[in-house]
Amino acid sequence: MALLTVDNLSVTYGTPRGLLRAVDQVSFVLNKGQSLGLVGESGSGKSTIGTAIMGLLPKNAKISSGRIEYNRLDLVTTTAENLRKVRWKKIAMIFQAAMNALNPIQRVGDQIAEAIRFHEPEKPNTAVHDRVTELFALVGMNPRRRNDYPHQYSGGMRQRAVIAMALACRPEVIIADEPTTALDVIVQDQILATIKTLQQELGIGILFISHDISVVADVCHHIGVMYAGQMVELGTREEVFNAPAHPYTQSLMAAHITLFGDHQPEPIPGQGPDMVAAASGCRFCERCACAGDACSIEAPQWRALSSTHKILCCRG
Amino acid sequence: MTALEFNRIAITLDKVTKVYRSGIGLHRSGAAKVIALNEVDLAVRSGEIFGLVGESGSGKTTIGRLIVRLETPSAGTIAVNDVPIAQMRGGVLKDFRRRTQMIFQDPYQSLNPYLSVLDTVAEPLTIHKRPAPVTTRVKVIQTLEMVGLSPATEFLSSYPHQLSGGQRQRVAIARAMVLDPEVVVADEPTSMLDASISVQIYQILANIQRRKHMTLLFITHSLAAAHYLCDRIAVIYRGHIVETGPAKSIISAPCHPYTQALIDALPKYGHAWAEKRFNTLRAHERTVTNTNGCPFFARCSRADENLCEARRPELCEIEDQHDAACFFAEEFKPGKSL
Repeated sequence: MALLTVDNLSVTYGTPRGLLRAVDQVSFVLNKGQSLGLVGESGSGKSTIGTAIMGLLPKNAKISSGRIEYNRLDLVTTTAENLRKVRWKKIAMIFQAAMNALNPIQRVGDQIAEAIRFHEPEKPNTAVHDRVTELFALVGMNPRRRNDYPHQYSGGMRQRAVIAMALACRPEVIIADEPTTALDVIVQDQILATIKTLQQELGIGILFISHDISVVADVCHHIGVMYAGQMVELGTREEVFNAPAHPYTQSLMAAHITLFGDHQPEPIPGQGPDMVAAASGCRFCERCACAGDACSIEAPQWRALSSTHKILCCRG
Repeated sequence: MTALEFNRIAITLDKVTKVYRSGIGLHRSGAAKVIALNEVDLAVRSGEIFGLVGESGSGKTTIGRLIVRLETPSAGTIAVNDVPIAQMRGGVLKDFRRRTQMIFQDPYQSLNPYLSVLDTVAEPLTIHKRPAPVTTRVKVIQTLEMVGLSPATEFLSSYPHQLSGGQRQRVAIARAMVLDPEVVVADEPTSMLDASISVQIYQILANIQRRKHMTLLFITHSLAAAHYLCDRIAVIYRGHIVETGPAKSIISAPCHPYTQALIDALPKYGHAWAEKRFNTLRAHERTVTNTNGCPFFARCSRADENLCEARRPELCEIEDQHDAACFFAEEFKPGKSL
């Protein structure tokens, strides 16, 4: 069942040099109880999609086309009042820098309680207190730590607190923007395990944004690969990770350093395209080993490889 | 390079301890002591890439900063090419600074935004009044080409804000390499960069290291990156070296429970070992009263309650040139099958 539908979404940023097309005609569906991973390098537009869904784009950004549909409500055109009802209550976000997301001079438990009270003002104090206790247990923290301040927490605990805050109002969708990027591998492993368990037990739909394809493959049912503002490949984890079809996905996998298997990592040659200049052909063609003459002229079209797997590529 | 030359020791740490004091209150009564390094012994051979792997707070950056003398140890001695660096003064120290360079983690902060690429890379040459056989400009261009900023002339007048993260880090590498140093400390040079850019940076470092026969100390939190780049690795945990040996041996047969936990924690979807292999991490940390025991005791699922809390295991050779500091290293040594 479709929980969140992003259809033909384009976002531009106004810059001194002109319009920067950060997100270009991206479409995907997030189903109930499933997780979709958006993977790509910095500047590929993956975080912009997350902030667009939350309605938190900066002032110089503009949604130039497309719909973001949640529960038959188009979040792009709806009123600020409607958006406020959905945001955090139904669609919550886990931010990347947990230290910046927490208020340093307020006890962590109080911050989570505040999030609950803001969205459910009628809730009695004892119920709020119980809910905070429940949330601490849910993300694997001792509820006694609710009276601590953020600086008394380790990096992993802060990330857990941010996850607890996102879960405060029992959302149906969580957008996790690089939730483990600043963490050590052992802590990352524990946080990913927590996210996976919560996702399964609570049936939440998770949009998981990361630059690390092995992390995405670890957590997500589906993977969407972003390059220079476009989604270039979308499929199940098995399809994209085990049989990547788009040349960019193949390059991204080849550049990934892993301890497992004998593969020698290969960097992706060249630079990403200028996102301000208007491009007609495929955005990856200059760096693509398989590009033909047509690739720099013709806009690539989606090509289905199976009922769930497709690539945006002129080849074949 | 001859075998003899390769075995020469370039960097020696002998029982190096570093204590930081924080939270200085009135009369220093509230000062808290943080032992960043505890009696660390380390020997890095001349002309090798040595990886120092550990999580944040393990003390790996402190070791790097001590070696280039940005910090001084609280106890113990550090020698570079057999010369203790603590006593160096004047001209000797300046020469040491030329021969020992550091590449910092964050290229967004380590470059001066007011200096062009030419000025940034030429500055060390000016400071050290290098009697260059070629002009400074030519030397800068050669170095920029070496780090893959090509054609170099197009970058000379650029400023850091006009460059991407990967390009900035190349400029930072060029600045370190322009003096032809003998020892380079690279402190997490790719932690701010994308995976695809990281591989480029590693290849550049490896190429330069091979061409110039320099000694490279590579500090990282990623076992995979250390395995890819390094000849030998030391794994450091809370100020103690817990395992050291050839990179291949450490990865294929990790002996210390902490190294094993690090390998367990890597995301490995699709790999035959998607499940945890070692399970050396306790679900809940123990509270430890005695601080003279094994540093990993609180988190170790294998620890012996009496032995490991009471005594700290020394680094012992488990296999050829492969040492681990664990009483049970021999017992839980995995079969070679990675």
